[in-house]
Amino acid sequence: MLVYAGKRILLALLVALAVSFISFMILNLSGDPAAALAGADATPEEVEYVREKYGLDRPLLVQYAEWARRAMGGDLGDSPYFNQPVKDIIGGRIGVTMILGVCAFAFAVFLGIPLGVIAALRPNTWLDRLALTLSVLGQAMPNFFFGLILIIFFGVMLRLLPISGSETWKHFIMPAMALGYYAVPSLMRLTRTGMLEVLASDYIRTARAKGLHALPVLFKHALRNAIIPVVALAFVQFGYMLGGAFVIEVVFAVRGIGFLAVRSIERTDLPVVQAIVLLLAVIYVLMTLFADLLNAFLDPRIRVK
Amino acid sequence: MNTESLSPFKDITFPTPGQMIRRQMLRHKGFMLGGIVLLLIVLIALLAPVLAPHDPYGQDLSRRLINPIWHEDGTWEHPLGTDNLGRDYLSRLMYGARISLLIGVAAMLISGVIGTTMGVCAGYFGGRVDTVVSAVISIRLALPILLVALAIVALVGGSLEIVILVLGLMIWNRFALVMRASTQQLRSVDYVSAAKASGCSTFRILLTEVLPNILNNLIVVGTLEITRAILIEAMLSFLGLGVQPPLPSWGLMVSEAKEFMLFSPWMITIPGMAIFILVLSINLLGDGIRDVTAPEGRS
Repeated sequence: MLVYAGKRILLALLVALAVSFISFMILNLSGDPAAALAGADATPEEVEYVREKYGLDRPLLVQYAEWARRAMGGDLGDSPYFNQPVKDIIGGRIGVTMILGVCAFAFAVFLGIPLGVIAALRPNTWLDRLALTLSVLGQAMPNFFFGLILIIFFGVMLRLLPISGSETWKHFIMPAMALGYYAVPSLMRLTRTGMLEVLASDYIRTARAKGLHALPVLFKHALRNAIIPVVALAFVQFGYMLGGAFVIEVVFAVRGIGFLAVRSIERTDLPVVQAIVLLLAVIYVLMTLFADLLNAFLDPRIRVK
Repeated sequence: MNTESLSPFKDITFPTPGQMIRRQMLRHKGFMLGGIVLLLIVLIALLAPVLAPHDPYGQDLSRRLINPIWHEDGTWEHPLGTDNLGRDYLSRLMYGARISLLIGVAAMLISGVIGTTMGVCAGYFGGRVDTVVSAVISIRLALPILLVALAIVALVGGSLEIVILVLGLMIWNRFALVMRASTQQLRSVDYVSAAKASGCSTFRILLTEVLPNILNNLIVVGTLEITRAILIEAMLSFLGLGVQPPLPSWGLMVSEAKEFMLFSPWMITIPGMAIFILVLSINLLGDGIRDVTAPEGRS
């Protein structure tokens, strides 16, 4: 287990490093950061001045090395737009995104897993088919459109929920649904397959034959075993969810790091964009690492490979 | 031939595999529904210049924000109403289908070539090639792709070509993963070993032995990846950083309709539903192809 974990952690570190390099290169090669900093009506001389002042005239590799060295120490540079350290700007916003992510995650888990269990208990009935149909429909729905439909229905027509901002808990209900529903189908399907497999196994038949009630069998014996891959998938989905949260944050004007990222992209505030891309990548890497280690811990066969 | 007339089965005709698949497709509800809806959308997109009642770019400020036909004040002249610049919504919707389909198919083709090459090489050669490809895939998966795509398109400047290129260069991961797994299964089957033993070049084996046998999976992934590209384009355009106005991209139409949400919510729901129906039809088609061509589906 330790050898496996060590290998996986090393791999995760390498991936995080590679991602930081690639995102740095992509962002810096896509546009001229100096021109963006100097503003739209700057003279060529002013652009050159900015380029030298911020060290943007050095080779990209040198710039990356400098940025990476500082980032390791927790210094993500300064935002030219806010004139503040990037770390402080992100630190003030990350909480909101995390609340949104956790709420969306809870919504997906509490909807997806019960639906999967129900579908597995009554396979090939209308209940099962309804759950499958919902998952097919859900996968075709663009999340920003789903968010806007929620706004039109609950916000504009029924006037039940606030439609923008992130001040109270009520502000998070609709964004959490709009962000979380996308993970429901995959969680549901995996729970369903896992449950079907476990329910058909011998030890469940034995438990039933011993005269145990259906519910304890279901929860203590079946679900516990079927849930392992689902939990692993849920971690990965959480990382993916945070990566796509910015669309929902823009739709609902939730002031998290996604909202900040989009606005920073619009005003070419590259240090902030770079830091957020790196942060999201690191979270995703950590989540997949967690999922892999969990899987390996619970299923010894994986470790040997 | 003489022997054929002696066969006891001469009156029974066995369906060829092709016929069997065709029969199953006709019986598969999702496949047929998705196929018919998609065919309609493709026809509308192709025939948009003929079908569209108005110029999709023609502004008429005296006819702004006319309601669709199901409202009391709707007119048949503009069945789906007009937008805030007085442009006919139905015509824009029809031309918008062209943009979604073009971006979906073009981005899928680019990513398909990249992903399939990577996946087939990793699966066939294994060893170091596999390690490198797997590492590249992990890196790609860790990259917050939507945000990076948004940043690149914004920095380079949004246009149809840029959106296609960025999507094509970024969403190859599923192709690579599926093709890698499919090729690995083929590496040691008899006919590949036979081709190797008879001295075929690696390129020829990949082209004539491996590729035809992973084609089913390739088609399934291909159809599903079209929808991913369509959804990402809609999202980029919705954020105002993808396809630029006045092009009638459906995502852009939703974005432009946001400020009229209070009194004209149909301006959001019509293009939004268009994206939903297009993606749903392609997904149903792709799922149908998978069900019919998968070996376990051929019972």
